[in-house]
Amino acid sequence: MAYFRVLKKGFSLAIRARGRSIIFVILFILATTSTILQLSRIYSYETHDLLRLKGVVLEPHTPMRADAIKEKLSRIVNDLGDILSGIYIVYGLNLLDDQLLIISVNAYGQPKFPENIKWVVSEFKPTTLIQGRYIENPREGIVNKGFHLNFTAYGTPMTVHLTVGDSIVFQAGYEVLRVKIVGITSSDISGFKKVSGIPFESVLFIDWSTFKEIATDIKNLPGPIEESPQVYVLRIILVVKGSALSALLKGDIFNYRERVKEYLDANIHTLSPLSIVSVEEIIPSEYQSIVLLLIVSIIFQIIVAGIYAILVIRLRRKDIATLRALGWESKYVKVFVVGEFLSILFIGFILGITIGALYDAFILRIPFNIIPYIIVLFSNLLLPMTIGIKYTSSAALSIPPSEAFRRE
Amino acid sequence: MSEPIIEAIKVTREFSGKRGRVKAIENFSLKIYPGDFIVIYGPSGAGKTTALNLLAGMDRPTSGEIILFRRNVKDLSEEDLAKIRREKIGFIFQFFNLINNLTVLENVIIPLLPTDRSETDMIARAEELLSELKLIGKKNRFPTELSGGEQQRVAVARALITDPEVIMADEPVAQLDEKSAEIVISLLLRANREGKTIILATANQALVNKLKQNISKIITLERGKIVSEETPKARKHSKQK
Repeated sequence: MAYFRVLKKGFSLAIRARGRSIIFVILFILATTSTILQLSRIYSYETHDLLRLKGVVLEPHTPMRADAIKEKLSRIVNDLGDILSGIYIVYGLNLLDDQLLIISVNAYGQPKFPENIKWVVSEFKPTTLIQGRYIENPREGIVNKGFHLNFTAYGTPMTVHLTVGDSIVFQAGYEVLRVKIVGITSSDISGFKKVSGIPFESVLFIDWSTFKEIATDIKNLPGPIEESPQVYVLRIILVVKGSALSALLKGDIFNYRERVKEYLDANIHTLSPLSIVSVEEIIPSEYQSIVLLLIVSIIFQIIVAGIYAILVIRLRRKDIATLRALGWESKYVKVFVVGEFLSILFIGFILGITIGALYDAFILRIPFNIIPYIIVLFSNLLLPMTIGIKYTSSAALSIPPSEAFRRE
Repeated sequence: MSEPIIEAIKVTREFSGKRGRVKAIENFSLKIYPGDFIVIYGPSGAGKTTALNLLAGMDRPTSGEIILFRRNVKDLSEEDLAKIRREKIGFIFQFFNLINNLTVLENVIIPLLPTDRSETDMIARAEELLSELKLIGKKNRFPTELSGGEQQRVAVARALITDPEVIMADEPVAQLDEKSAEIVISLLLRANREGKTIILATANQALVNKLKQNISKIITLERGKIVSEETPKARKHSKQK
């Protein structure tokens, strides 16, 4: 109880020291907001912007079947395996007399980062949902805007339009498979038409397990589906190794990306009909400046916390001596000064993280990812907090109570 | 026969300075009994504040011994000394030493904050003291909104809130106008009449003269040494010694 009272008093002291507190709250907000924004941007390159940073995309310029890529891929793995973190293949299967193309992504071999699949899915489009959400579970699908299916019932031609919440039921004999539509994308499907050579008007994006079920149970294709001559290869995505830090220090990601491109250019004939598709890439300096700004933001936060801790001790020197003279035990003096220090750090951190999150969500429109928030919790709160607490508590106890008698 | 509550036995306190070791207090001995009104008088730099620091257990002697409430300071930890100060000694400082970001009421209860006493009790006691000191109407003001005299009265209330046995005052009226000084001195005298021991350090000869009839002992310090001791008003225990 006494601890809480003392801590509360430290908090109220900080709040009442308005001018100084406002300045430091603003500085903590700036540092925390900047940190969370840079982290979110970096993590967006590891997730939904993965291909812009680490991807090299290949597309066939004439329709290509899945059975034709095995040899090409094993050569790529053999030659580039040490610098690739994964290879992802976008497959297509036409259904309903070429009216519908179902599309999915699967990793080739054992990907080092299986979680990348979902980001590859979202990257090869649909990147922009106009309604609903992305696929989160098997038996869920996303359709293109204007999705429709034509069929004839009792001699009458009919068209069915589907939207979010509807389901498509695939049936072959006793096999029934229901896919629920959870989102609609505005993606242009002309690229897929060209690559597959099929004049479909409607596309259904699904996860790989559902794709395989449809291929084997409904379409009765013999396995393995990844090598089936009935399945189209729409795109191959090579993802290079490298982390944010290595990009800053050595530029690995960018070197690897260039090496992959050089290799593909040199082997273009053996890889035909595959060729490199240009994607909007992250340029090294842009990425490195974000990482640099992140480091600067974290250092700035720690410096501001250090300055504030020193200031609290310097400005409260007489008060601390007085409290010690009045008989406050060391533990309470520590809690008192730490309370004043922490309150401003907390307020700045909470406001900074809130502003950063809102900016991410509504201005940059970066999907929420918990990892940047966990990192910022350590870098901008726990680390400066530890330094500040250690300094303020030891500095407070180095002030002798006899200073209370000293002249101003 | 009562025992001294604070005793200094041949105390010397040295400090390291630019000119080597300096003795701020030398061979200082003093016995303080319950109910005493002790004045430590001397010019600036005589060692009054060092003496107060030592008598309050805020500093430790280089040689000699300080006995605080029957316990030798050298056997006590800083935490033990803090507890003794909180429970048994109240302080009044020359520059009031109020915390500017706390209200008058909060400043008065501050010595009790790290204790198990309920907040309601603390506030009730603080309001009682502020009423007696005619400051209740200003309990929610901040120290910077008060006059010097009012600030020192708040400091007196803060010194009294723990109901200490001893009040140590370092130049308590040096910063005050005459009227405010009168009020503060009368508060100290009242506390002494009510049984509290007062130790007052001052360089003000006029103040000493004015208080003389109420003082148990006047210690005059010069360059860290006791140059004279007077006992204008002998206490019972003095006779018994």
